[in-house]
Amino acid sequence: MMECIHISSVILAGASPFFQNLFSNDRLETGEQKETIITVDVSQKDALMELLNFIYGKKLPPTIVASIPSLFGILMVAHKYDVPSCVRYCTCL
Amino acid sequence: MSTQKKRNFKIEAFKHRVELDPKYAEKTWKILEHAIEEIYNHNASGLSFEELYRNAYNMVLHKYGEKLYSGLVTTMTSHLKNISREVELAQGGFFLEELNRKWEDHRKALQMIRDILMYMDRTFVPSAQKTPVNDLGLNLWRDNIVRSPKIQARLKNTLLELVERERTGEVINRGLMRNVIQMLKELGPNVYQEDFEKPFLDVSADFYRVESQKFIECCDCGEYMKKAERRLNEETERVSHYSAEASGGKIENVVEREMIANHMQRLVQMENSGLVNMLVDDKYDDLSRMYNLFNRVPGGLSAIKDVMTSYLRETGKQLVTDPEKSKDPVEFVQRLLDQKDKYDKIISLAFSNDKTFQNALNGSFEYFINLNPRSPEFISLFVDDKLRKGLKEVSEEDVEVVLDKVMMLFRYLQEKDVFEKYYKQHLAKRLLSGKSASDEAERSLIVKLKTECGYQFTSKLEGMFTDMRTSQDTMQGFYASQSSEMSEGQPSLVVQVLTTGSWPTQASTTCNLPPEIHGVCERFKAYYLGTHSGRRLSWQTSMGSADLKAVFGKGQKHELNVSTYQMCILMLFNSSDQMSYKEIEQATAIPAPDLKRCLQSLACVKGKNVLRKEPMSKDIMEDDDFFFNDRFTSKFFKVKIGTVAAQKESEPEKQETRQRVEEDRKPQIEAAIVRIMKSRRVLDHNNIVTEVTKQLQSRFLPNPVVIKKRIESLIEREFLERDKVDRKMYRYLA
Repeated sequence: MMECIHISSVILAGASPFFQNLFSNDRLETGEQKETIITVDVSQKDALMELLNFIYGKKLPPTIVASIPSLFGILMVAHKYDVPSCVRYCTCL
Repeated sequence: MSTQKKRNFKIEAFKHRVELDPKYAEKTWKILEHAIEEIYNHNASGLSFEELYRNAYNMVLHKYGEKLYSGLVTTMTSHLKNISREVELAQGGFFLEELNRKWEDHRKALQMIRDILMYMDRTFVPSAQKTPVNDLGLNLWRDNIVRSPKIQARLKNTLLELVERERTGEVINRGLMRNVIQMLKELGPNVYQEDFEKPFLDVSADFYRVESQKFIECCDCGEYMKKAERRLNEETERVSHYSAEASGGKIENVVEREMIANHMQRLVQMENSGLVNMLVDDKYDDLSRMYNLFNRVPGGLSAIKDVMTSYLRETGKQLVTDPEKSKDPVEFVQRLLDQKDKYDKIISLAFSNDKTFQNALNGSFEYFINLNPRSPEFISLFVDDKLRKGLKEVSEEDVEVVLDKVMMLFRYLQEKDVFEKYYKQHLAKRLLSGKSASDEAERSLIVKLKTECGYQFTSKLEGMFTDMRTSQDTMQGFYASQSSEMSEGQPSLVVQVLTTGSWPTQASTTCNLPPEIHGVCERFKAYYLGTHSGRRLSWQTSMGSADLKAVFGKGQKHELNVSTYQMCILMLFNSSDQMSYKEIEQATAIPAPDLKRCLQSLACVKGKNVLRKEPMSKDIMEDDDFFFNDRFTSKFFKVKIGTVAAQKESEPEKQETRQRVEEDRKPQIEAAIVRIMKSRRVLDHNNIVTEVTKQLQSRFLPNPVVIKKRIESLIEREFLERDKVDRKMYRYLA
């Protein structure tokens, strides 16, 4: 199951060292590749989408904030991909 | 890369849950191990960062962190061992290049590995207290490569050999050197210091010990300094090219120690080229170089200063004590000033105006100027010479410059009161004979003396100027009152009324004035005492001057400018053409030494001999006869007949002045003692002497014996008494 989204690499790279490495062209990825694939477990997909939203909007929707399991899932993903601003946000709510 | 371009970003859902089968960890590690190998083999382009990151993440997440970490250590170690072998195989000059290339590879690989294992670095490493991946990679490199038995010594020797080759003029690959040293630095300060810096400094010390020994045997001091300076600059430049700035100070210290500190004394005292020769020849560049180099080592400047001071004192002593050189006081002082100028210039140009050097210079001058007891007199004579005539053609600023320089010498004098005494005499002569070139310059010097020594010092000098001014007014008043009685042909009189005490004391020996003059003098006396009651006037005939109109044999007229004494003698020849010495002495009552001097200048100086003497000889004898010389000729209308007078004081005069000075010091010492005792009430002998010396040192250096005598005199006069128990203590009585 593939989902394709368009996103600014600069914004992601600014929020996380993981994304910075991921998008660095002269790294493991081959030069001109425009598609970057991230593989996650189905259970983590929604959390990852919320994380990406957070990186853009700097906050999470109230429905998520209200749900402990959702919040925990996002925290896991944020920790995995090293997005300190989101980790801080989740733990300080 | 960092433009805001949109990427296709795909999120792929995992179809299967992570199976936690026992082989999972092993399988995942194999993937990562393979990736690390590929990275070292420059084959990284086929790898997916995301996948490797995810695998490492999963291993850590599922508690296989330890396995991942130890696997990394093992894999990397074995790779480095391979690299080590390859480096060892490199031949000769390629060794360093190979090492550097492998280092670059390792660093790049390490960075990639670190990125992949970032999650482990962030979570597992701190909690398990392991070394972070990057540091781990550096440590493994250090232990397996740089400090491997077959490489460590070879690396050290290669580096040192390159340094040595560069020092002896070869061109080496500085970039390579720089990279390798950069590597050592990245491996930690400990590695840099032990594997490069320390051996580098040791070898350098040996090198410069040998080289400086060689240089000092064959170079003169200036040349040696140039070489040392060049070496220092080279080393500073070298460490910056090697990117080893951290060792800059240390290598400079090594060169300073080996090339300068160890040879300091020998350099300074080097025969024919050492410090003394540089000073003599004004070698500002060499001196400046020496100053800057010696300034870098402890005790360096004082080595220069000591030699300079002792040389200055030695030459200064010769200058002031050489009887040949103190013949002409003006030249004597000019030499001192030249010497001072010379060293001032050296200190400002070469010794960066160093205060300690200025102090040494001042100290030396003070030391040797006071070795010659006539220095105060000579300095005053120098001023006299400058203020008399010399300054007429120079501008005001230049006058100030000369006076400032004189003041500087004055400051070195210990016996300032002796200077004052002479200055007063010389000033009196200048003022009374109207020879003072510039009133302004005179005043300017007095202001300087005043700021230097206080009001007391100059009050009498200023009194002299006041007298001169008042006398002008008095003369105007006198002539206004006499206008009716004045007649043609009468001599005109100018009187300067001098206050006793302000002027140098003169034994009041009056001579017999010619009747024509005597009359006018009496009239002035009557006028003056009439306007100023209660005063006493006495005539100082030894200090005046006169203009005489004389007609000689063929009718030629001349105006003769003579002293009062000479005038008295010449007036006698109005009534007779021939007189004997005895007759003249009786008629004028001029003291014998002065009379002889006057006659000598009237009869024995060619071109000014208005009198003729028999027998003809240079000296005046008591049985000589004198004639009016009617064959006198001169191409000038005005003839100035000076008195043959020694400018410098003769030996007895000197003694006399000395005695007067000693006499004047007594009340000053007594006053100081009384001042001190009044405030301290009780004080022991030594302390009194110290305090008196301190109080008076701005004027003179009192002799302790004299102080003791003054204390005794004060005890006699019951100002003080001795303590009854402790005889060394004095008590103030009042």
